[in-house]
Amino acid sequence: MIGFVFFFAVLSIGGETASRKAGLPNYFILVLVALMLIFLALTEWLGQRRQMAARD
Amino acid sequence: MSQGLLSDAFLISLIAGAVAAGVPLLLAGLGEQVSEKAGVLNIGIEGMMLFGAYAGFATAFGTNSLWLGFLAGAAAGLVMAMLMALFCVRLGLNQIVIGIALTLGADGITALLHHVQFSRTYPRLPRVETLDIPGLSEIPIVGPSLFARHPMVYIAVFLVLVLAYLFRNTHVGLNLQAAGDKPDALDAAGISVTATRTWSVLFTGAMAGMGGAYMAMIGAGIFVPFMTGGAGFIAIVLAMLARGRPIWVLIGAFLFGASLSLTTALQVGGVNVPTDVVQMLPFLMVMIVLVLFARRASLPAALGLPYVRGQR
Repeated sequence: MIGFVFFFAVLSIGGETASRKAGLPNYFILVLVALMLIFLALTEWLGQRRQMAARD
Repeated sequence: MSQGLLSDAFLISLIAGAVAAGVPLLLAGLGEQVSEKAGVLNIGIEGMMLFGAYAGFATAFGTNSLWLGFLAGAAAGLVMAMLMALFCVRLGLNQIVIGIALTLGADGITALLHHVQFSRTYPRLPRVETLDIPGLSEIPIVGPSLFARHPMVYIAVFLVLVLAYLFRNTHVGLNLQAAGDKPDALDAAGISVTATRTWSVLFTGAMAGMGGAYMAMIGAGIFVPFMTGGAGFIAIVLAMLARGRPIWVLIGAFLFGASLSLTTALQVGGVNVPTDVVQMLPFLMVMIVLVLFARRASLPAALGLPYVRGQR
């Protein structure tokens, strides 16, 4: 959990700095957060599949 | 003050506003009801509405056709729903996480597109043509507010009847119910749970997209970032409280629509209430309705749970 919170904080600050430098509005961060959530869910799914495969 | 509240102008403004704000909730709520019946909790409906609102507005603005705008809105909702179906129905990922991700993603993408395309000009669509129902549209107060509307309003109400019939009298309704309550029984009967849920999610996306398109093209005539303002979440509450009955989605949508339109109606009626207070009303109403009726809400047994054959 602490790792994810740290990762989120880095992404949030980094996204804001990057969007400011690129001249984009900070809505850009929302897209990054959405992608991060999808990747987290996918990671969990892959982990579950690996566990199931190991059990079989 | 009481004279202001009972004036024709106030009542017409309230009813007309309830319809304008209620139709997007109705379309999204009906879609969500289908999805929930099939066992998929579609939290991403807010994002689907927003994406539909952007696509509908941009298309209507570019082509001068509201019907093409509705088509584009439905298609945009459908694209978002395809992601939901892929991640949640096919892969069985967490429905809440993916729903939130889709909503945040749609928030960001539509705000960026608006920034690039419309932020300097803030274009508006012209006033829409209405379809006046002969005789009924001439009834004082109720006539102009209910029976002189854009055809999409009548289509949305007609859809309530279609879905009520579908749920009660057809195999499609039974299949949806089984996919949400006893997916393994549906599977044993030889009907694919995955296909049933996928179609229901796609239908939800199209309906939510059309709801968003209505909001941008007819309700507001303009697209602004985050314009759905939680309407998708209200639609989820409506679908949950309606207990599988489309007619209750209709009633709830217009009640919430009325509370959303109260700001304008009170101003028309000459009542001076701070806008901030009135803007709290829909959400206050959600809380009151939940406190009063949440216990009676009956949700499908397998709602939110991915279906894996042979797994209990």
